[in-house]
Amino acid sequence: MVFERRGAGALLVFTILFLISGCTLLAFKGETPDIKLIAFGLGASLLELLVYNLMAIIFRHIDRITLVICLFLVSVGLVMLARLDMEDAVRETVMQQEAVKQLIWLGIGSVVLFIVVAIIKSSRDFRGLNFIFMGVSLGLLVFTFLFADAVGGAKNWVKLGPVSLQPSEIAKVLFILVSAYFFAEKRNRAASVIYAVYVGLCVIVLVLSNDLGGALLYAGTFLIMFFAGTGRTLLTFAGLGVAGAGAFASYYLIDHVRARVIIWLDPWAYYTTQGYQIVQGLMAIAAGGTFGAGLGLGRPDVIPVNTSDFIFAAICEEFGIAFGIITILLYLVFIIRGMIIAMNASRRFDALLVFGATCMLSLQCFIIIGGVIKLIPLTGITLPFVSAGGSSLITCLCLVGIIEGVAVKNGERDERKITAAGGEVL
Amino acid sequence: MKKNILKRNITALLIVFIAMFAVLIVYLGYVNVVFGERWFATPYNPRIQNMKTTVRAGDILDRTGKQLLYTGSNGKRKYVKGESLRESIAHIVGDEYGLSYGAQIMYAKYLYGSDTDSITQIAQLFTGEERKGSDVRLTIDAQLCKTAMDALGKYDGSVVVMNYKTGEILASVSSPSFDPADMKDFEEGGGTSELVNRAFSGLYPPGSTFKLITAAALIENGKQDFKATCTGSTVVDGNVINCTGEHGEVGLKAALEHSCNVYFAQSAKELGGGAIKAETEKFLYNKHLMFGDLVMKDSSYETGNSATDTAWSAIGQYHDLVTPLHACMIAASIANDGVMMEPKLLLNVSSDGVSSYRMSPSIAARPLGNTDTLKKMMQAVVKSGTGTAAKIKGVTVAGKTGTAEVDSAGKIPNTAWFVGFIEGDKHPIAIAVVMEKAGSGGKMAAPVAHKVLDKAIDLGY
Repeated sequence: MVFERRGAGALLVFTILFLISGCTLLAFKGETPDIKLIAFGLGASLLELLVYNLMAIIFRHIDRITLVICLFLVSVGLVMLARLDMEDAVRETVMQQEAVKQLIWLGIGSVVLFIVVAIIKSSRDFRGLNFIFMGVSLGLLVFTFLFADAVGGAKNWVKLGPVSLQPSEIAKVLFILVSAYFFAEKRNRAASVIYAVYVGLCVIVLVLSNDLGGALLYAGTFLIMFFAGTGRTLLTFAGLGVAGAGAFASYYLIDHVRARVIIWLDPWAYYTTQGYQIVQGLMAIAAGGTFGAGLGLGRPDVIPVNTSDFIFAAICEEFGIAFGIITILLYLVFIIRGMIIAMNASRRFDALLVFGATCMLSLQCFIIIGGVIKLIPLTGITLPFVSAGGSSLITCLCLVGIIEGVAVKNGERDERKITAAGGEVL
Repeated sequence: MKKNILKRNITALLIVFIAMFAVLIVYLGYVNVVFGERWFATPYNPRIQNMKTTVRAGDILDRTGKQLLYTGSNGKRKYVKGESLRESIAHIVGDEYGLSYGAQIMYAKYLYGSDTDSITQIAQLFTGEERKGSDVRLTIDAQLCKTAMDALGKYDGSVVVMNYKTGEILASVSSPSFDPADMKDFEEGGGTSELVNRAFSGLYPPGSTFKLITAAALIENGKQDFKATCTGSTVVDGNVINCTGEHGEVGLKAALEHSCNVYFAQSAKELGGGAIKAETEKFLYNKHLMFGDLVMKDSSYETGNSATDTAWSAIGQYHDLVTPLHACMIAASIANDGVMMEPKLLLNVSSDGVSSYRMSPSIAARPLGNTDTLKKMMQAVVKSGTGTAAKIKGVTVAGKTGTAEVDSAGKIPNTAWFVGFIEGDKHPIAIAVVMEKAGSGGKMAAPVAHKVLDKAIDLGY
């Protein structure tokens, strides 16, 4: 009943095949075969196999489908990044290559993943740490606002020596922890006020940093958790109304927001200026068609920010829209698994934690894919698991760690029940 | 809070998420099918320039089979001989740098062979056989285009000729033009006005040619017997609208024949702005004009906020704007008994004699049920009204002239218009002529229409 393990193995095999064949194909693109790329494919495969098996052995009850979907999405990103590296003369040395950096981040992120699963699996609700979480996350956002470099109009990058970090990414995890704790029990007025101020400040600081995607993500996740946690439909719609009014007001007050909407309505009219990104993305998707140009045969290198925000357009160009749709479906399976784990959780805090983590990832996925395909105005955020970037990948893996940690908790509880009833778990 | 309520809420939100992602998937599939080619075939797409280096591009031919652009024996692209002929087909064929939005961009997929299936493409990759694009045959007749260009003379403007039964564009010219074989001036960022295809993207006030739509609105609303007395001008809300003459008491037929402003300004009051607007939208004003073969600008109509604005809008001024191609489509729809055909520019696509695409007519809209009354009135315009210069021996020409004001101060000379068609199944051709700063439509545009229609008949259309 609970120990659903079918399907994960097949998808894992497919993931490894995808990685190895993708990298090998790229290796043979040039005049002479590039051994480094084949090694890269094998190395990535080994790392993923190691992560999967260690997770399955150490924590017996992880949700395997969830983990394998993450690994598959990361692999799609790795292959695409390796492919984009080939076009860019700047990324000549190995360490400058996005794909290599991403693989290293995957290694670091996997360690983080193990730690988070271990913490969550044996945690209660971080009661004492709640205010610290609030302070640190808000501090990270304010720090970013004050000291960050602007990239693509949004201030969210902080340079620390050789690496650039996005503190607002890490703050996401803390935001989920704080929110889950707040909605887990009935709170008194003072606590509610503090929490409300906290959420409001987060969103305001993000808007001030011009990180509209981030603001949308925080506000959306809050509203969804509010609905799930309180069940107050009317208030939720009122909140939606307030958010809508805020969006409407910002349309008139903030030039950056207005520009995004105008470009969304007709990006072609602003091709030479601000519409350039989205038009290039749309052309790439159109160029790929249903089955894609083929790996290495398209021109995804001409798409701006093709390694992060627009990586979905690059994927659609070379692998085709059909593959793009499969990717979206996999995100959907990931969401459904997350929701099932949330519903299986014994305690409200755990349920809300998993629910919040799942919602944040799915919302992020919707916002960026919707923006790239011009369904909604574009706000620059990364595509979870796929986009290049250490902060983004590690945050996503932290959120997966939360989901898996609770899954392990659920599994161990069920195992105890079964053993108590005289059964045996294989 | 009970835990089962939390479960219920999570389930509800899961359904919301599933719906959101379903929208994502459906939208992605939808835009691929509907906009895919349009998004791909733009002058901005660097992939098109890229394809040229690896593929031997196909030829572009006119409907008679004349090579307008072809790959010579040395592998170089060559345009048809004769500078004035090249200038008359320049906007339709386009240039190789993608500066103008012509067939070289629009039909890039065929010309560079990316329409062939991927198995053939891969096979060509391995056999080392040179990849070849398909030949594209257009619906235009280069000779007719040249006649139209010559007829425009020194004036800026456009001529569009269509077969009103099939929607095929037989000629489409835009002046000033450029020589696609010699683009030196433009590579260095020279004038861009020449590169704009006025026929598809030039928005002009339609002037009195718009009265056809006001007339259609009167007929459709059962007000064809409306009468007005023209004393040379009329006052609407304290604003004077002048007429071309003193027409006395006029009905619809006489008013259209002599293009009486007073009559149509007053009929705007009789009809109301809403009825006129509804009529324009039947003719696809204010609609997204999206057709498979070409990219054109959308036409617009507003009634305005005051009776004066509405009165001006009913005689084709105020904010009314239309492209020459759309004006031609409107005339064509009247000729074709109220059925507006989709404009077609691509006749067929073939590779080594094997055809992979063939034009088939399709209907864009059905603005009117019966056009007999309107047709008769338009015949009168050419027979004894403002458009007599368009008359041709042996056939019945119907039409409407227009003299559109560009600025109210009258400093810029008016834009001359003629839209019309030849009656009958033998020569199903419609035409629109626009001449900037030329003055009277009857004096300037109607003779151009005469020359072009005469040539079209000669050529057997």
